[in-house]
Amino acid sequence: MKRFHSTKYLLVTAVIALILMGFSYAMAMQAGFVDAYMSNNALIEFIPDECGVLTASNGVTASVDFNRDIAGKIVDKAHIKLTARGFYPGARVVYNIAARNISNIPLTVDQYKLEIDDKNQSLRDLIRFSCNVKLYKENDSYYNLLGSFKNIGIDELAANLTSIMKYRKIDVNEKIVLEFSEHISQYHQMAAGKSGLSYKLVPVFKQYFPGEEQEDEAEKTT
Amino acid sequence: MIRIFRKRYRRRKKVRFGNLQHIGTVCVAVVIACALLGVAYAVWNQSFDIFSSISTGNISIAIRDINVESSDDYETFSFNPIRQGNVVRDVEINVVTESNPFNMILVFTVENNGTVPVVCEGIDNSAGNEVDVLLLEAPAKIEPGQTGSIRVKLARGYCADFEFSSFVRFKQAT
Repeated sequence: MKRFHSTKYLLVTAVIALILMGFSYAMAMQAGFVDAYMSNNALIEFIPDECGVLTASNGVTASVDFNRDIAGKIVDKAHIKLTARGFYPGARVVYNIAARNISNIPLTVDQYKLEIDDKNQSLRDLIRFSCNVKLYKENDSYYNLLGSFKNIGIDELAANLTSIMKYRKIDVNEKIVLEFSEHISQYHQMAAGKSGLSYKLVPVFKQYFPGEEQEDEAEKTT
Repeated sequence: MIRIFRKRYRRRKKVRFGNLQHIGTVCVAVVIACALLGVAYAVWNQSFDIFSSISTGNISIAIRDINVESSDDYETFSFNPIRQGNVVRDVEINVVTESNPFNMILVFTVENNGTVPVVCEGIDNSAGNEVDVLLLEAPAKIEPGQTGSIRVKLARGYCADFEFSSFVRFKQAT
């Protein structure tokens, strides 16, 4: 009798747990778009044909690439790799990075996160960044310049991108383009030998809701 | 008879609830729950990122050969490049001459093994004024993987067992 009860109890618990998990998942999928951060590649993805190197200084080898399979086919449009080799004082590389909202909801950027590789950051204080952020609307027929910055250090990069793109609506099928420049001032003295910088920028997207900006500002004032 | 059957059946049923078949059902349910949890976790962890890597180039120059282009008159002259693999490390020069100082023009064949184009800036020597070393001519640019010829004038008065080092300076060509 005792055995019957314990096994039945386990079974019932498992079933309840399953049901609760199902509920929580469904609720998270619904409410999560509103409140929680989403960095889901189903919402937005890079456009490989439009991502590339616009200009690179003489002697600098720059490239843009994606994760590919053995056959060379792009398998992941949520990651982009920008590589510049042979940097020197005065060198500059300008990349074009394009991504499209492929979801069926309007999006906005909640924040940009920056992760710098501790093992490769010797150029951290020398590299300067500039960027133009454009939003292409109505089947890419025209664009709005959302904002731009020039000659900032890597520590200010994420904050600057966030301030330009936060609260800006990226509607369904709209395209966001970053003309992103990395350069070193020609007046910098660089140490001899191999050195570099590796970092990762992670834009965190969430669903756009009108009036969100005002609500945030109201919270700040109170 | 029916009562007996019912009693037996009930007893059997009680036993069945506690047997391995039902424990297995619970295990399957738990496994499915974990799998769903994993799927949910995976969905929430898909990322979107821009990875960037910047690196400077490296300069690596190897002297492949040194030859004498011309020199003052001499009685005897020997010029022996000492190699380590296919790189010239030292040169041994023995001259018997009445020319003082003795002048000669050497041609260094250098190869750019680095990742960036280089240009020769000049030449220094460790012996100061005891020997005159002068860069006469160098290519405007040596691309990675290419070789170039550098002409250097060397002048020295009488000496015996004199040793010195020369440093050919290269920098990244822009």
